[in-house]
Amino acid sequence: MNMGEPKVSTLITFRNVALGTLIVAASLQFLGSRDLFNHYYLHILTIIGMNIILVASLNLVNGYLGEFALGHAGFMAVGAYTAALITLKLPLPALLRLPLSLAGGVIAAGVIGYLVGLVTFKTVGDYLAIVTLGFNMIIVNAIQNIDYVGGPRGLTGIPKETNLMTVALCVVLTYWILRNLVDSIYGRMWLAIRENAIASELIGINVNRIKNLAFTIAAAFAGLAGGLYAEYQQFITPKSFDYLRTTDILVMLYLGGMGSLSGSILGVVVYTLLMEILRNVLGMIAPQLADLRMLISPLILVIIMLTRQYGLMGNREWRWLQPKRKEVGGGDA
Amino acid sequence: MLKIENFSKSFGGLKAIDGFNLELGSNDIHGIIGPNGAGKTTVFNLITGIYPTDTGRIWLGDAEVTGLPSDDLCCLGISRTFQNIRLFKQMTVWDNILTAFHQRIGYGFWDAAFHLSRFKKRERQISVESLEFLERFGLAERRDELAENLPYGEQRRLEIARALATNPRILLLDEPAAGMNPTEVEGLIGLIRDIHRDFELSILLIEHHMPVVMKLCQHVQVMDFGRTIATGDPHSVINDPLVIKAYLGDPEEIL
Amino acid sequence: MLATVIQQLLNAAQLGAVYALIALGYTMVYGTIRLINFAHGDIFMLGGFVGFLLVTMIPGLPVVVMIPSAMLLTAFVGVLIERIAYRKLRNAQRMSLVITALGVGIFLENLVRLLVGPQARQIPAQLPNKALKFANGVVITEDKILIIAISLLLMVVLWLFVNKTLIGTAMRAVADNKDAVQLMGVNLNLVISTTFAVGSALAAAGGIFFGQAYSIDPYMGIDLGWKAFIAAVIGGIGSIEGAVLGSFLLAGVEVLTVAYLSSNLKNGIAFGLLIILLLIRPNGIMGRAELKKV
Repeated sequence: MNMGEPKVSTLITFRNVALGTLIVAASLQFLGSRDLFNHYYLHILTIIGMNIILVASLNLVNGYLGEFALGHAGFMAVGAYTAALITLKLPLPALLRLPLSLAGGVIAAGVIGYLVGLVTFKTVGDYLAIVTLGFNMIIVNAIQNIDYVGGPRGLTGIPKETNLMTVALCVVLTYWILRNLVDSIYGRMWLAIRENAIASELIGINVNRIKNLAFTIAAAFAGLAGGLYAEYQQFITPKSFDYLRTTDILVMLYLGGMGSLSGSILGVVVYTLLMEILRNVLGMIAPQLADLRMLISPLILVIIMLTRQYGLMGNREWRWLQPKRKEVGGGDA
Repeated sequence: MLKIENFSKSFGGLKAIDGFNLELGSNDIHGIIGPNGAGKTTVFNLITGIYPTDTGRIWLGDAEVTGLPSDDLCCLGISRTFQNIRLFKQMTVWDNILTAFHQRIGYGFWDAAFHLSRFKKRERQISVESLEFLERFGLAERRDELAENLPYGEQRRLEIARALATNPRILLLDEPAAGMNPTEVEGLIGLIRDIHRDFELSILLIEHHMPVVMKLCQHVQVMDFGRTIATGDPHSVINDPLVIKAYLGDPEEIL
Repeated sequence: MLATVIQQLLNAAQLGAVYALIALGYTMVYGTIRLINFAHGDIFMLGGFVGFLLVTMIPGLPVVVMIPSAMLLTAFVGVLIERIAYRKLRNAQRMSLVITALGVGIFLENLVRLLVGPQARQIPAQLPNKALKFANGVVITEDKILIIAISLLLMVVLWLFVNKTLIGTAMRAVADNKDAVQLMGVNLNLVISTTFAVGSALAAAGGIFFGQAYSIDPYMGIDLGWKAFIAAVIGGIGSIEGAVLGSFLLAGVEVLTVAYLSSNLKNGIAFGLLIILLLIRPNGIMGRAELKKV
């Protein structure tokens, strides 16, 4: 459609953006280790990265598929605890610790996500929200009751394996896979289900199975984020993954735009920066004012809902994340 | 090809379908007509598994398919269109058809997740196949337009095309001529004739436009209040006094 | 032995009464505007704190004044929230409403926390709590009985209100068919505001009783609100009788779990019950199924 494009924008492809991100992350990381780059900024970027994975994965279910799942933090918890346990309890060579623990977190979260999905998609509409949030609480409650993982006191002393570079790698991987899936028959089936579930069934799509597929994938990525989180904060408690965390994720999701992977990035960045700025600015006026963030965050959510219900990006995508235009007999994905 | 024995269905206290029977041979075109509220669409809903029947059984070919869910029925060869068009409105024309090709997509989840070579190859092939399919229905030029932006007649055509994309043995058309002007109706009749000739399938047609029924159906079944009140060839059926009486109560018929 | 059983029964009844007071609000709001008001648990919490503040700021305030005042104030807040946050979204996607409710709830929690502090407090004894001694060593405190009695009274009043008054009938009509009711000239906004007012008032009573019997903290709405919500769903959301039934059922199960299994499991069991129920009887014990027309 756009033939006469200036050359610069054709450079902005997914591959290049991904590579660029990795290079920038590696550089900042390196500079940080030499104390040439502010550690605080490094920290913020790392948090942003983890949140992007959380929000983008939930976007698959709530935005793209059009469902209404509210318990995402529960799967993050599963991933976090699994990864933490692997690094703490299993004797592993240092180089393998991160990949194996993250893999463990992903698989565990995915399995739990699959099982929850089996139950969840037997219910519909409003009840889906309740059941998923209920499972969030069940998972947190269950962890609180298992002494082996520290119960309500949580796990401490988790080795710090995560840094900006590893997070950036995971973000790139997440976006690559999500975008690939959206750009395939699965993406079309998910959209079809959102548009008209009955018609989808009548063209042979097993709606519950395909919904659960999205749900499982989202849970798995939440587990990835959880594992990264555990090995960054070095300390996790069940309370870190309760429904307040889920709501944080929701705020960023809706702020960015449902069904837009670009929006997920934007929403996370804007929200995280906003919260940090508020914390610093308000905190400078008076230490107690910094807590006003806790009021502003839910207000943002309510205001988004009341005004522009579609978020910053709506369901549009930046060009480098858009599906490739189909060419017959020539182009390929 | 399709045999239904004693379907009945109640909603709450209301008996919507009572003792419905049907036999459809391969390559037949049958019509189901009757006043509004007679239960025609409900019969379609029962056949395609949207509601479970209270009683009765149904066979597709030699196999009994009673109680199967909609997606299984589709895989076994039953396809349908709806009274109020159920296209994937926010998807392009091409994607509407492509999604219906999902059963023969030929790659799996991991191929898609990492865009492996099998994915790339099959996507290319399916693109070609689906485009040819669209051309057959005269929709290839509109392939990148959103389905909801199509003119009404083409939306109907797209819905029929999508139903055919799953390679059905039986096609159920629910009031395909609804809302069409006479030219479009003529086009539709031609389309259905072509489909009947080119694809090997049986067609079951619900219609209010009598000319469509008269021109296409070899056999007609008339329903009223959930029951079959007359069957036979179109001419004798519409002259049946019972049928005329059933319709006289409904001033919206186009006789 | 008998003493403990009776104690447990009374505990269950008291807890069930509190759940019911909250659950009724959930079920009425869902019945009229099909919204799962996630902020309702926080209204319950707010009611408790309003009572607490009234008591601490106006020493000597008689309890018969405090409770209705707190209920009134909280009802006002409930109506305000509906007016500001929900009314505009009444015809929007369901999701938007639910998310808004979530946001409002968190806002209330953090607001209370910022104003009053996160620690748990107990409302100083307002109801007479003389210990009554019965045969077989059964000791019951008066306030427990009073709480159960007053709660039941409130439920009876509600039932009368919904079934015997004009506006109550309007509420039931709206729950059945919102659009038709408007065509008959009923002021929909008034009916909905009343629903919120009544639901919030009852929840406030629950909050005060709970704060009396146990304690209050800014985040208690999450836990108890959820349980009450589960009770409403178990009983069949939209049904007032169901909400009461579900509440006492859930409270009974919870008290039994704490007594004979482990107090850590009580939340898990509650949620587990919910999920099992939704799987076998998706519309709750007394709920009505809504068939979709295709």
